Amino acid sequence: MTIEGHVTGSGDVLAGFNIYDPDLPAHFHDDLRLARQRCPVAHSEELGGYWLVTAYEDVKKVLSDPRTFISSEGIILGATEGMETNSLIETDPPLQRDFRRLLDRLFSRRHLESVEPAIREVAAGLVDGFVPAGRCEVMRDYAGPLTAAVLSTLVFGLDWETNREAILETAEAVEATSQNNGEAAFEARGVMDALARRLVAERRSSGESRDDIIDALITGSVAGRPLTEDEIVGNLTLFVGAGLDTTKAVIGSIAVWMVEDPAIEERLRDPAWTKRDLDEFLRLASPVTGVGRTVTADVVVGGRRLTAGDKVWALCSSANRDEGVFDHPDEIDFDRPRNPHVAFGMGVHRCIGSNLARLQIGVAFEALLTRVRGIRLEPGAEIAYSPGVVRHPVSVPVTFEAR
Amino acid sequence: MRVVIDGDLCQGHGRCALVCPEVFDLDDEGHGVVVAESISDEMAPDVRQAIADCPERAISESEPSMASMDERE
Repeated sequence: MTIEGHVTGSGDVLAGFNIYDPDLPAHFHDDLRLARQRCPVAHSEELGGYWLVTAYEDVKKVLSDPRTFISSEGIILGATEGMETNSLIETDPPLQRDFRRLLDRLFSRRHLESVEPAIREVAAGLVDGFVPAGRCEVMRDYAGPLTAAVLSTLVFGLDWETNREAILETAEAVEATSQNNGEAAFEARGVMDALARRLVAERRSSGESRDDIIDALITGSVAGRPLTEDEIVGNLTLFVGAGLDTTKAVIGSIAVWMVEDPAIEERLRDPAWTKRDLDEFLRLASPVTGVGRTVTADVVVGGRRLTAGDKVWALCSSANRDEGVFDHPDEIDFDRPRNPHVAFGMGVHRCIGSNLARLQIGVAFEALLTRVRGIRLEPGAEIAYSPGVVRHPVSVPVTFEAR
Repeated sequence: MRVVIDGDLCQGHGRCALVCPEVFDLDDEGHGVVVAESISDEMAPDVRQAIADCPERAISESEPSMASMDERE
Protein backbone atom coordinates (compact mmCIF):
# COMPACT_ATOMS: atom_id res chain seq x y z
CA MET A 1 0.00 0.00 0.00
CA THR A 2 1.38 3.39 -0.87
CA ILE A 3 0.15 6.71 0.38
CA GLU A 4 -0.22 9.26 -2.38
CA GLY A 5 0.08 12.90 -1.56
CA HIS A 6 2.02 14.55 1.14
CA VAL A 7 1.45 17.45 3.43
CA THR A 8 3.94 19.45 1.39
CA GLY A 9 2.74 17.91 -1.88
CA SER A 10 5.53 15.60 -2.94
CA GLY A 11 3.83 12.16 -3.10
CA ASP A 12 4.51 8.58 -1.94
CA VAL A 13 5.50 9.42 1.57
CA LEU A 14 5.65 6.13 3.30
CA ALA A 15 7.05 3.95 0.52
CA GLY A 16 10.03 6.28 0.51
CA PHE A 17 10.35 6.75 4.28
CA ASN A 18 14.02 6.74 5.16
CA ILE A 19 15.18 7.79 8.60
CA TYR A 20 18.51 9.04 7.23
CA ASP A 21 16.94 11.31 4.62
CA PRO A 22 18.25 14.85 5.26
CA ASP A 23 14.92 16.28 4.11
CA LEU A 24 12.87 14.16 6.49
CA PRO A 25 13.21 16.15 9.73
CA ALA A 26 11.13 19.06 8.51
CA HIS A 27 8.08 16.83 8.03
CA PHE A 28 8.96 13.91 10.28
CA HIS A 29 5.97 14.10 12.62
CA ASP A 30 3.58 15.02 9.82
CA ASP A 31 4.59 11.86 7.96
CA LEU A 32 4.13 9.74 11.05
CA ARG A 33 0.70 11.23 11.72
CA LEU A 34 -0.25 10.39 8.15
CA ALA A 35 0.95 6.85 8.68
CA ARG A 36 -1.01 6.42 11.92
CA GLN A 37 -4.15 7.75 10.29
CA ARG A 38 -3.99 5.98 6.93
CA CYS A 39 -1.54 3.08 7.07
CA PRO A 40 -0.27 2.28 10.54
CA VAL A 41 1.79 -0.66 9.31
CA ALA A 42 3.24 0.61 6.05
CA HIS A 43 5.91 -0.79 3.81
CA SER A 44 8.92 1.30 2.87
CA GLU A 45 11.09 0.32 -0.08
CA GLU A 46 14.10 2.07 1.40
CA LEU A 47 17.02 0.51 3.29
CA GLY A 48 16.37 -2.92 1.84
CA GLY A 49 12.64 -2.79 2.52
CA TYR A 50 10.94 -2.79 5.91
CA TRP A 51 7.64 -2.35 7.72
CA LEU A 52 7.10 0.98 9.39
CA VAL A 53 5.06 0.43 12.57
CA THR A 54 3.68 3.66 13.94
CA ALA A 55 0.68 3.03 16.22
CA TYR A 56 1.21 2.65 19.97
CA GLU A 57 -0.46 -0.74 20.36
CA ASP A 58 1.36 -2.16 17.35
CA VAL A 59 4.75 -0.87 18.56
CA LYS A 60 3.90 -2.41 21.92
CA LYS A 61 3.06 -5.71 20.25
CA VAL A 62 6.42 -5.75 18.46
CA LEU A 63 8.52 -4.79 21.47
CA SER A 64 6.69 -7.13 23.86
CA ASP A 65 7.46 -10.22 21.82
CA PRO A 66 11.21 -10.75 21.52
CA ARG A 67 10.67 -14.27 20.14
CA THR A 68 8.72 -13.21 17.07
CA PHE A 69 10.56 -9.92 16.70
CA ILE A 70 14.22 -10.59 17.36
CA SER A 71 17.16 -8.25 17.82
CA SER A 72 20.04 -10.60 17.03
CA GLU A 73 19.78 -9.98 13.28
CA GLY A 74 20.34 -6.27 13.82
CA ILE A 75 18.37 -3.37 15.23
CA ILE A 76 19.58 -0.58 12.98
CA LEU A 77 18.01 -0.52 9.54
CA GLY A 78 20.34 -0.27 6.61
CA ALA A 79 23.36 -0.85 8.83
CA THR A 80 26.67 -1.28 7.03
CA GLU A 81 28.12 -4.74 7.32
CA GLY A 82 30.56 -5.04 10.17
CA MET A 83 28.48 -2.72 12.32
CA GLU A 84 27.11 -5.54 14.51
CA THR A 85 27.54 -4.51 18.08
CA ASN A 86 28.09 -7.85 19.89
CA SER A 87 26.18 -6.21 22.69
CA LEU A 88 23.06 -6.87 24.68
CA ILE A 89 21.00 -4.64 22.43
CA GLU A 90 21.43 -7.14 19.61
CA THR A 91 20.91 -10.22 21.75
CA ASP A 92 17.71 -12.12 22.39
CA PRO A 93 16.46 -13.80 25.52
CA PRO A 94 17.52 -15.95 27.29
CA LEU A 95 21.09 -14.69 26.77
CA GLN A 96 19.88 -11.08 26.82
CA ARG A 97 18.35 -11.60 30.25
CA ASP A 98 21.73 -12.79 31.58
CA PHE A 99 23.34 -9.57 30.35
CA ARG A 100 20.66 -7.50 32.06
CA ARG A 101 21.04 -9.45 35.32
CA LEU A 102 24.74 -8.68 35.16
CA LEU A 103 24.36 -4.99 34.46
CA ASP A 104 20.99 -3.64 35.67
CA ARG A 105 22.27 -2.96 39.18
CA LEU A 106 25.06 -0.72 37.86
CA PHE A 107 22.51 1.40 35.99
CA SER A 108 19.99 1.50 38.81
CA ARG A 109 18.92 4.72 40.43
CA ARG A 110 20.32 3.49 43.73
CA HIS A 111 23.79 2.76 42.36
CA LEU A 112 23.90 5.98 40.35
CA GLU A 113 23.46 8.04 43.51
CA SER A 114 27.17 7.50 44.00
CA VAL A 115 28.02 9.21 40.70
CA GLU A 116 25.67 12.15 41.09
CA PRO A 117 28.28 14.39 42.77
CA ALA A 118 30.70 13.84 39.90
CA ILE A 119 28.00 14.72 37.35
CA ARG A 120 27.21 17.90 39.29
CA GLU A 121 30.86 18.84 39.29
CA VAL A 122 31.22 18.44 35.53
CA ALA A 123 28.00 20.36 34.89
CA ALA A 124 29.00 23.21 37.20
CA GLY A 125 32.41 23.41 35.53
CA LEU A 126 30.88 23.63 32.08
CA VAL A 127 28.38 26.28 33.16
CA ASP A 128 31.19 28.29 34.79
CA GLY A 129 32.89 28.21 31.41
CA PHE A 130 30.11 29.93 29.48
CA VAL A 131 28.23 32.10 31.98
CA PRO A 132 30.60 35.08 31.59
CA ALA A 133 29.93 35.22 27.84
CA GLY A 134 26.19 35.59 28.40
CA ARG A 135 25.58 33.04 25.64
CA CYS A 136 26.26 29.47 24.66
CA GLU A 137 25.27 26.83 22.14
CA VAL A 138 23.55 24.26 24.33
CA MET A 139 24.46 21.20 22.24
CA ARG A 140 28.12 22.00 21.58
CA ASP A 141 29.01 23.85 24.81
CA TYR A 142 26.92 22.01 27.36
CA ALA A 143 24.94 18.89 26.54
CA GLY A 144 27.67 17.40 24.33
CA PRO A 145 30.61 17.73 26.72
CA LEU A 146 28.45 16.84 29.74
CA THR A 147 27.22 13.56 28.34
CA ALA A 148 30.63 12.73 26.90
CA ALA A 149 32.27 13.34 30.28
CA VAL A 150 29.69 11.33 32.20
CA LEU A 151 29.63 8.37 29.87
CA SER A 152 33.37 8.13 29.44
CA THR A 153 33.93 8.44 33.18
CA LEU A 154 31.24 5.98 34.15
CA VAL A 155 31.62 3.43 31.36
CA PHE A 156 35.24 3.71 30.30
CA GLY A 157 36.51 4.70 33.73
CA LEU A 158 38.44 7.56 32.14
CA ASP A 159 39.34 10.71 34.01
CA TRP A 160 37.52 13.62 32.38
CA GLU A 161 40.09 16.34 32.98
CA THR A 162 43.08 14.47 31.63
CA ASN A 163 41.25 12.93 28.66
CA ARG A 164 39.00 15.79 27.64
CA GLU A 165 40.15 16.18 24.02
CA ALA A 166 40.10 12.48 23.23
CA ILE A 167 36.68 12.08 24.79
CA LEU A 168 35.18 14.98 22.88
CA GLU A 169 36.65 13.68 19.62
CA THR A 170 35.16 10.28 20.28
CA ALA A 171 31.79 11.84 21.04
CA GLU A 172 31.81 13.73 17.76
CA ALA A 173 32.74 10.56 15.93
CA VAL A 174 29.80 8.76 17.52
CA GLU A 175 27.39 11.38 16.20
CA ALA A 176 28.35 10.26 12.70
CA THR A 177 27.11 6.75 13.36
CA SER A 178 23.54 7.95 13.83
CA GLN A 179 23.51 10.26 10.84
CA ASN A 180 24.15 7.90 7.98
CA ASN A 181 25.74 4.62 8.96
CA GLY A 182 28.23 4.86 6.12
CA GLU A 183 32.01 5.07 5.95
CA ALA A 184 32.29 7.69 8.69
CA ALA A 185 30.21 5.58 11.02
CA PHE A 186 32.39 2.55 10.39
CA GLU A 187 35.52 4.54 11.20
CA ALA A 188 33.98 6.02 14.32
CA ARG A 189 33.08 2.57 15.53
CA GLY A 190 36.66 1.46 14.90
CA VAL A 191 38.02 4.32 17.02
CA MET A 192 35.74 3.53 19.95
CA ASP A 193 36.41 -0.15 19.62
CA ALA A 194 40.16 0.34 19.81
CA LEU A 195 39.80 2.60 22.84
CA ALA A 196 37.58 0.11 24.64
CA ARG A 197 39.97 -2.78 23.95
CA ARG A 198 42.88 -0.76 25.31
CA LEU A 199 40.98 0.13 28.48
CA VAL A 200 39.94 -3.46 29.09
CA ALA A 201 43.54 -4.63 28.66
CA GLU A 202 44.73 -1.91 31.03
CA ARG A 203 42.16 -2.85 33.66
CA ARG A 204 43.10 -6.51 33.41
CA SER A 205 46.80 -5.90 33.79
CA SER A 206 46.30 -3.39 36.60
CA GLY A 207 44.78 -6.12 38.74
CA GLU A 208 42.54 -3.37 40.04
CA SER A 209 39.01 -4.18 41.04
CA ARG A 210 36.24 -1.59 41.05
CA ASP A 211 32.47 -1.90 41.31
CA ASP A 212 31.91 -0.63 37.80
CA ILE A 213 30.80 -1.64 34.34
CA ILE A 214 34.21 -2.70 33.01
CA ASP A 215 34.70 -4.96 36.02
CA ALA A 216 31.25 -6.49 35.72
CA LEU A 217 31.88 -7.31 32.07
CA ILE A 218 35.36 -8.72 32.69
CA THR A 219 34.47 -10.80 35.75
CA GLY A 220 30.85 -11.66 35.05
CA SER A 221 29.30 -14.55 33.20
CA VAL A 222 26.41 -15.08 30.82
CA ALA A 223 25.00 -18.46 29.83
CA GLY A 224 27.36 -19.96 32.41
CA ARG A 225 30.53 -18.71 30.74
CA PRO A 226 32.69 -15.57 30.79
CA LEU A 227 31.91 -12.88 28.23
CA THR A 228 33.94 -13.01 25.03
CA GLU A 229 36.28 -10.10 24.32
CA ASP A 230 33.95 -8.98 21.54
CA GLU A 231 31.02 -8.97 23.95
CA ILE A 232 32.95 -6.97 26.57
CA VAL A 233 34.10 -4.41 24.04
CA GLY A 234 30.77 -4.41 22.22
CA ASN A 235 28.83 -3.60 25.37
CA LEU A 236 31.26 -0.87 26.44
CA THR A 237 31.08 0.88 23.11
CA LEU A 238 27.32 0.45 23.02
CA PHE A 239 26.84 2.14 26.38
CA VAL A 240 28.99 5.09 25.42
CA GLY A 241 27.55 5.37 21.93
CA ALA A 242 23.94 4.86 22.90
CA GLY A 243 24.15 7.20 25.87
CA LEU A 244 25.68 10.19 24.14
CA ASP A 245 23.43 11.48 21.39
CA THR A 246 20.27 10.40 23.11
CA THR A 247 20.70 12.20 26.43
CA LYS A 248 22.17 15.18 24.62
CA ALA A 249 19.08 15.24 22.41
CA VAL A 250 16.71 15.48 25.36
CA ILE A 251 18.72 18.28 27.00
CA GLY A 252 18.69 20.18 23.71
CA SER A 253 14.99 19.58 23.10
CA ILE A 254 14.03 20.77 26.58
CA ALA A 255 16.19 23.86 26.03
CA VAL A 256 14.24 24.54 22.84
CA TRP A 257 10.91 24.35 24.68
CA MET A 258 12.32 26.51 27.41
CA VAL A 259 13.31 29.30 25.05
CA GLU A 260 9.96 29.08 23.29
CA ASP A 261 8.03 29.51 26.56
CA PRO A 262 9.52 31.39 29.56
CA ALA A 263 6.96 29.72 31.85
CA ILE A 264 8.84 26.49 31.29
CA GLU A 265 12.09 27.98 32.61
CA GLU A 266 10.22 28.76 35.84
CA ARG A 267 8.77 25.28 35.97
CA LEU A 268 12.22 23.75 35.67
CA ARG A 269 13.34 25.64 38.76
CA ASP A 270 11.02 23.44 40.84
CA PRO A 271 13.02 20.29 41.73
CA ALA A 272 9.82 18.27 41.39
CA TRP A 273 9.94 18.75 37.61
CA THR A 274 11.92 15.58 37.12
CA LYS A 275 9.11 13.51 38.63
CA ARG A 276 6.40 14.38 36.11
CA ASP A 277 7.32 17.12 33.62
CA LEU A 278 10.41 15.30 32.42
CA ASP A 279 8.32 12.39 31.18
CA GLU A 280 6.17 14.74 29.10
CA PHE A 281 9.36 16.18 27.57
CA LEU A 282 10.61 12.64 26.95
CA ARG A 283 7.38 11.68 25.25
CA LEU A 284 7.59 14.57 22.84
CA ALA A 285 11.35 14.59 22.29
CA SER A 286 11.56 10.81 21.94
CA PRO A 287 15.05 11.08 20.45
CA VAL A 288 15.38 7.39 19.65
CA THR A 289 13.00 7.53 16.76
CA GLY A 290 12.62 3.78 16.63
CA VAL A 291 14.27 0.40 16.81
CA GLY A 292 14.58 -2.38 14.29
CA ARG A 293 13.57 -6.00 14.58
CA THR A 294 13.50 -9.06 12.34
CA VAL A 295 10.43 -11.27 12.11
CA THR A 296 10.96 -14.96 12.87
CA ALA A 297 7.50 -16.30 12.19
CA ASP A 298 4.57 -15.05 10.12
CA VAL A 299 2.55 -12.65 12.23
CA VAL A 300 -0.24 -10.13 11.85
CA VAL A 301 0.42 -6.62 13.09
CA GLY A 302 -2.12 -3.86 12.69
CA GLY A 303 -4.02 -5.97 10.16
CA ARG A 304 -0.97 -6.52 7.92
CA ARG A 305 0.60 -9.93 7.47
CA LEU A 306 4.34 -9.90 8.13
CA THR A 307 6.47 -12.80 6.91
CA ALA A 308 9.41 -14.50 8.59
CA GLY A 309 12.56 -12.65 7.53
CA ASP A 310 10.85 -9.26 7.19
CA LYS A 311 12.46 -6.23 8.79
CA VAL A 312 10.40 -4.02 11.06
CA TRP A 313 11.05 -0.49 12.34
CA ALA A 314 9.07 0.13 15.52
CA LEU A 315 8.66 3.89 15.67
CA CYS A 316 8.61 4.72 19.39
CA SER A 317 8.57 8.42 18.57
CA SER A 318 5.33 7.87 16.66
CA ALA A 319 3.78 5.66 19.34
CA ASN A 320 4.40 8.55 21.72
CA ARG A 321 2.07 10.77 19.65
CA ASP A 322 -0.66 8.21 19.05
CA GLU A 323 -3.96 10.09 19.32
CA GLY A 324 -5.59 6.95 20.68
CA VAL A 325 -3.39 7.07 23.77
CA PHE A 326 -2.49 10.73 24.17
CA ASP A 327 -5.03 13.53 23.78
CA HIS A 328 -3.70 16.50 21.75
CA PRO A 329 -0.49 14.51 21.33
CA ASP A 330 1.63 17.21 19.70
CA GLU A 331 1.13 19.63 22.60
CA ILE A 332 3.01 19.84 25.87
CA ASP A 333 0.62 18.92 28.67
CA PHE A 334 2.16 18.28 32.06
CA ASP A 335 -1.13 17.13 33.54
CA ARG A 336 -1.95 14.21 31.31
CA PRO A 337 -4.04 11.59 33.06
CA ARG A 338 -1.84 8.96 31.50
CA ASN A 339 1.63 9.09 29.98
CA PRO A 340 2.88 5.55 29.34
CA HIS A 341 5.42 6.84 26.82
CA VAL A 342 7.94 4.55 25.21
CA ALA A 343 10.78 7.04 24.76
CA PHE A 344 13.00 4.53 26.56
CA GLY A 345 11.48 1.69 24.58
CA MET A 346 9.65 -1.07 26.35
CA GLY A 347 9.86 -4.79 26.92
CA VAL A 348 13.05 -6.66 27.75
CA HIS A 349 15.23 -4.14 25.89
CA ARG A 350 13.93 -1.16 27.92
CA CYS A 351 16.78 1.34 27.82
CA ILE A 352 19.28 0.22 30.43
CA GLY A 353 20.55 3.79 30.71
CA SER A 354 17.20 5.42 31.44
CA ASN A 355 18.06 6.28 35.05
CA LEU A 356 21.43 7.68 34.01
CA ALA A 357 19.75 9.78 31.34
CA ARG A 358 17.22 11.13 33.83
CA LEU A 359 19.95 11.93 36.31
CA GLN A 360 22.07 13.82 33.77
CA ILE A 361 19.10 15.78 32.45
CA GLY A 362 18.00 16.80 35.96
CA VAL A 363 21.50 17.85 36.96
CA ALA A 364 22.06 19.68 33.67
CA PHE A 365 19.11 22.00 34.16
CA GLU A 366 19.64 22.45 37.87
CA ALA A 367 23.26 23.48 37.32
CA LEU A 368 22.29 25.81 34.49
CA LEU A 369 19.33 27.49 36.17
CA THR A 370 21.25 28.02 39.40
CA ARG A 371 23.59 30.33 37.51
CA VAL A 372 21.47 31.96 34.81
CA ARG A 373 17.99 33.28 34.10
CA GLY A 374 16.05 34.69 31.17
CA ILE A 375 17.27 32.09 28.69
CA ARG A 376 16.30 33.09 25.15
CA LEU A 377 17.09 31.90 21.69
CA GLU A 378 19.86 33.91 19.98
CA PRO A 379 18.03 36.46 17.78
CA GLY A 380 17.74 35.21 14.22
CA ALA A 381 18.56 31.62 15.12
CA GLU A 382 16.33 28.87 13.80
CA ILE A 383 15.96 25.42 15.26
CA ALA A 384 16.44 22.47 12.93
CA TYR A 385 16.38 18.79 13.78
CA SER A 386 18.83 16.12 12.66
CA PRO A 387 18.02 13.22 10.39
CA GLY A 388 19.07 9.78 11.57
CA VAL A 389 18.02 7.28 14.14
CA VAL A 390 18.55 9.77 16.97
CA ARG A 391 16.57 12.94 16.40
CA HIS A 392 17.99 16.03 18.09
CA PRO A 393 18.08 19.78 17.61
CA VAL A 394 21.20 20.48 15.58
CA SER A 395 22.13 23.67 17.36
CA VAL A 396 20.49 25.66 20.19
CA PRO A 397 22.25 29.02 20.54
CA VAL A 398 20.95 30.89 23.58
CA THR A 399 21.55 34.07 25.53
CA PHE A 400 20.92 34.58 29.25
CA GLU A 401 21.65 36.78 32.23
CA ALA A 402 23.84 35.70 35.09
CA ARG A 403 21.95 35.41 38.38
CA MET B 1 -6.86 -0.18 47.90
CA ARG B 2 -4.02 -2.60 47.22
CA VAL B 3 -1.79 -2.89 44.21
CA VAL B 4 0.47 -5.58 42.87
CA ILE B 5 3.34 -5.46 40.36
CA ASP B 6 3.71 -8.34 37.93
CA GLY B 7 7.41 -9.14 38.17
CA ASP B 8 7.46 -10.75 34.73
CA LEU B 9 6.06 -7.64 33.08
CA CYS B 10 8.06 -5.05 35.07
CA GLN B 11 11.07 -3.88 33.09
CA GLY B 12 12.36 -1.27 35.50
CA HIS B 13 11.17 1.95 33.86
CA GLY B 14 10.83 3.32 37.39
CA ARG B 15 7.83 5.53 36.56
CA CYS B 16 5.82 4.27 39.54
CA ALA B 17 8.50 5.24 42.04
CA LEU B 18 8.74 8.70 40.50
CA VAL B 19 5.02 9.37 40.57
CA CYS B 20 4.22 7.79 43.94
CA PRO B 21 7.31 7.10 46.05
CA GLU B 22 5.18 6.53 49.17
CA VAL B 23 3.79 3.38 47.60
CA PHE B 24 6.43 2.27 45.08
CA ASP B 25 10.16 1.82 45.42
CA LEU B 26 12.77 0.22 43.20
CA ASP B 27 14.98 -2.71 44.16
CA ASP B 28 18.71 -2.94 43.47
CA GLU B 29 18.06 -4.02 39.91
CA GLY B 30 15.67 -1.13 39.39
CA HIS B 31 12.50 -3.19 39.38
CA GLY B 32 9.34 -1.98 41.04
CA VAL B 33 8.38 -2.99 44.58
CA VAL B 34 5.18 -2.10 46.43
CA VAL B 35 6.19 -0.73 49.83
CA ALA B 36 2.83 0.32 51.24
CA GLU B 37 0.64 -2.35 52.82
CA SER B 38 -2.55 -0.57 52.01
CA ILE B 39 -3.20 2.67 50.25
CA SER B 40 -5.22 5.54 51.63
CA ASP B 41 -7.89 7.23 49.54
CA GLU B 42 -5.67 10.33 49.50
CA MET B 43 -2.90 8.39 47.78
CA ALA B 44 -5.23 6.68 45.35
CA PRO B 45 -5.05 9.30 42.54
CA ASP B 46 -1.23 9.16 42.45
CA VAL B 47 -1.34 5.37 42.52
CA ARG B 48 -3.78 5.38 39.61
CA GLN B 49 -1.41 7.72 37.77
CA ALA B 50 1.42 5.26 38.38
CA ILE B 51 -0.71 2.41 37.06
CA ALA B 52 -1.62 4.44 33.97
CA ASP B 53 1.96 5.59 33.35
CA CYS B 54 3.56 2.13 33.39
CA PRO B 55 4.44 1.35 29.75
CA GLU B 56 4.38 -2.37 30.55
CA ARG B 57 0.97 -2.33 32.27
CA ALA B 58 2.72 -4.21 35.04
CA ILE B 59 0.75 -2.72 37.93
CA SER B 60 -2.79 -3.66 38.79
CA GLU B 61 -5.22 -3.17 41.62
CA SER B 62 -5.51 -6.37 43.63
CA GLU B 63 -8.09 -4.83 45.86
CA PRO B 64 -10.11 -1.81 44.80
CA SER B 65 -10.42 1.19 47.13
CA MET B 66 -13.44 1.50 49.41
CA ALA B 67 -14.51 4.56 47.45
CA SER B 68 -14.67 2.73 44.13
CA MET B 69 -16.49 -0.20 45.71
CA ASP B 70 -19.21 2.18 46.87
CA GLU B 71 -19.56 3.45 43.30
CA ARG B 72 -20.25 -0.05 42.09
CA GLU B 73 -23.14 -0.41 44.52
